[in-house]
Amino acid sequence: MLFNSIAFVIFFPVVTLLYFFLPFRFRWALLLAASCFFYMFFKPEYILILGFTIVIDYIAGILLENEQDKARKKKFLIMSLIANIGVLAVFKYYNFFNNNISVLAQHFGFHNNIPFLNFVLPIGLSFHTFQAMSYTIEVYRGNQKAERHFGIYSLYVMFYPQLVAGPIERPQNVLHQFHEEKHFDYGNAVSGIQLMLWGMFKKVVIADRLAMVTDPVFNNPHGYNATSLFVAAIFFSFQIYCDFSGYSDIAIGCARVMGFKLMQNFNRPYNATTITDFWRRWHISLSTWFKDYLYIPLGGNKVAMPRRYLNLFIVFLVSGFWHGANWTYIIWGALHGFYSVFGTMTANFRKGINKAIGLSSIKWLDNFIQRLTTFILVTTAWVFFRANTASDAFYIFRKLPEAVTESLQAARQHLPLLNLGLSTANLLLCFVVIGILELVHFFQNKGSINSLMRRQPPYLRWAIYYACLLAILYIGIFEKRQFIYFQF
Amino acid sequence: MKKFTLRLLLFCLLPLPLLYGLNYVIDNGLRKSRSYFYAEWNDLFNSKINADVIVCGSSRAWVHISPKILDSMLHVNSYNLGMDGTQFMMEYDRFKIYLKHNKKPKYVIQTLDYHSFMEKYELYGYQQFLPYLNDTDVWAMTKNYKGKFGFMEQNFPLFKYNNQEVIAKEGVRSFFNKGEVSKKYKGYEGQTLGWDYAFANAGKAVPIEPFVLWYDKKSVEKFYEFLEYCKQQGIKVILVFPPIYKEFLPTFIHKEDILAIYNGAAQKYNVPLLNYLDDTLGDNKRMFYNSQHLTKPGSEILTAKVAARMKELMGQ
Repeated sequence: MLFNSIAFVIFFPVVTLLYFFLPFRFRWALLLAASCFFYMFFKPEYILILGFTIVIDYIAGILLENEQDKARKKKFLIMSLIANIGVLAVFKYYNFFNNNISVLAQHFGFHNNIPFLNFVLPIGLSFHTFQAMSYTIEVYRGNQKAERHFGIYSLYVMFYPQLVAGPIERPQNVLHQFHEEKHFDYGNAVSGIQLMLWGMFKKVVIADRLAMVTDPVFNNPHGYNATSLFVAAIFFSFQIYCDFSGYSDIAIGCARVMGFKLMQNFNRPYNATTITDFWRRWHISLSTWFKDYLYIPLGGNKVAMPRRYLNLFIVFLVSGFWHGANWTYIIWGALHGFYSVFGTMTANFRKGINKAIGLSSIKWLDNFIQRLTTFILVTTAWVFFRANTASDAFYIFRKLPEAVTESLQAARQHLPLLNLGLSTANLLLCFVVIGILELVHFFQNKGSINSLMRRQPPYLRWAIYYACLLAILYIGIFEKRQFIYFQF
Repeated sequence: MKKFTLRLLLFCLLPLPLLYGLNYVIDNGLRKSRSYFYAEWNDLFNSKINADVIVCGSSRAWVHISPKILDSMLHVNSYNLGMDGTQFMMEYDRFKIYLKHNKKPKYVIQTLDYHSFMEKYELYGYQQFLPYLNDTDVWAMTKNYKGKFGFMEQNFPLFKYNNQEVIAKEGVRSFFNKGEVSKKYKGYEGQTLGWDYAFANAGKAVPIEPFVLWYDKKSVEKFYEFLEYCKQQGIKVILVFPPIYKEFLPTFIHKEDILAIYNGAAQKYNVPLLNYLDDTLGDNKRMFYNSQHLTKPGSEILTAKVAARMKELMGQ
């Protein structure tokens, strides 16, 4: 079920009302049934895959807790991880590897006879697999007690707000919440709905509107001039942010209405001053997952510098691969790995130069340049992320320098600068909605929007809510677009 | 929870009178509008047409058959119900709605295209239905097309006008009798555009690419149903295949199959088929603004030719 659908507008209040009216002992069952219904709305049979990993990890959790022998314990963990990664490997990566084997075989004059699998990737597979893995790892590490209640454990993996696109939760943060009796809280309900409204605004008003520009351009980059490619690349940075953070906001918001607290997933990532800072603000639940379960086990910061750089690079490469079985995602991950390693290596050197030229003393300018540089680097990487093929992405970069001559020519001959096929009013609206986003970020920078709203008189609060709602209904794009991260 | 629910209810209900009010203004304004495609729908629903001769078909009816010429040559009252971007099923549905609100015509000129039966079930120009979504026939007619209209469009005030500011503005203006003036004459709109390859080749310049024709069986069945219905009702049908610019004729693949359907139907129901594919009009590029559509002068020549043949058929 899509958050931006009429089905969800009915589903959410019905489930929430039932949740609060039901006696506590039945609530887990309601939430589990609702989550199954939510997931089965996409493709019912794929719930069996979820069921498979849930049973494996539930049993693994109990075995891990009961087992005293360290070697056997490790064996159980490995078995559980293999089961989870195995599901990912089959459904997400099998065809990718097989395709690459075919290419290699062809190169050496052989024919690859391994058959391809013909099925659609189960929605949100990487998200719930990672969430399930974090449970067994935490039980293995002794940080989390094994969950004995099968229904509650299933709910931990399947809780509908974060089932298909996160945040990827940790058992310590969520599992205990299902055992606690939640009472309706006015403040939670208001701030939850506020967050959902803002998330919906980001998705249907900003992201899907920008998609009207980016989708045609990235699907056929050869049909557009360099300036249009440039604009589309910038727009995609905002589109993916609004699409994904919009989903996270709705997820966190609707959990909050029911009294559940999910972790923050985004914190104004384009305000980041370095790539490391960006990853502290972007998809926080995934970056902390990789930090806790891959970077630190690899040695983290406590190893020699070259090894530390290698660890960093590996994490970003795996992160790219997590996003999708395509070379574009791997290049995207590698690029971020390179940025991070290079950024860490040159941090002191850059600081020294800034000091020498006096830039450090002009704080606002220093900040601005750092933010702009980070944004450009991130946007460059997004081009690989969004492009249909790596060669499309390389074409875009080869074409981009022509934007300068195009601009000069357009100015001289009074020609239109962009060939996006969009009316001026529509294009202007794209910039206006990005402006609104940045305005909200400006206020967020000064403190929580929720507390800022609480300080306003009711008529102003309601006016803002109405403006947001009317924008969603009347200038939002309702073309049944999925959230970008559903495919991962 | 009670306080929250009450406030939420109040929040939701408070703007509804305003939204419904504005929805009423726009709907009713568009139902009076003479602009875009609304004039014909409004005439149709307000039983203002009641013509002797009705022209049905796609854009090749809309820009090709001039009621002014038909009226003067045949001494009848004619009206053009041609719809831009449609295939036969939509044209037939409109004809059925026409009959519900107007007296039945003596003659129906049904224009034909190679793509008349290529149903893609996509609602082209869906904006024309917006003020009439609560009409059961319009709802039934549009619901077969790919998910344009759903519960929200039909029931939530103004939602159907999402991202339609130009049309909403026209609705408000027309409500206060300040809407745009129609450029059409009884549904016909002669075009004065220059030649454009874009239509023929989806934005690409020459060379012209082949266009593979196909047909939807359901659509062909509906065509037979239409001819049968007219026969039973005593409505005389005249099938007209307007010219196509000759340079493009070889680009249509399987065109014989489509023509065979038309010829077979004409024979079965004993209706005249006026085929202008070999007419000299098709040789003259200046008479076209693209491969499929005649300019105003071209369409006037065609209408005169059709009227002359009709005169014979009518025994005048």
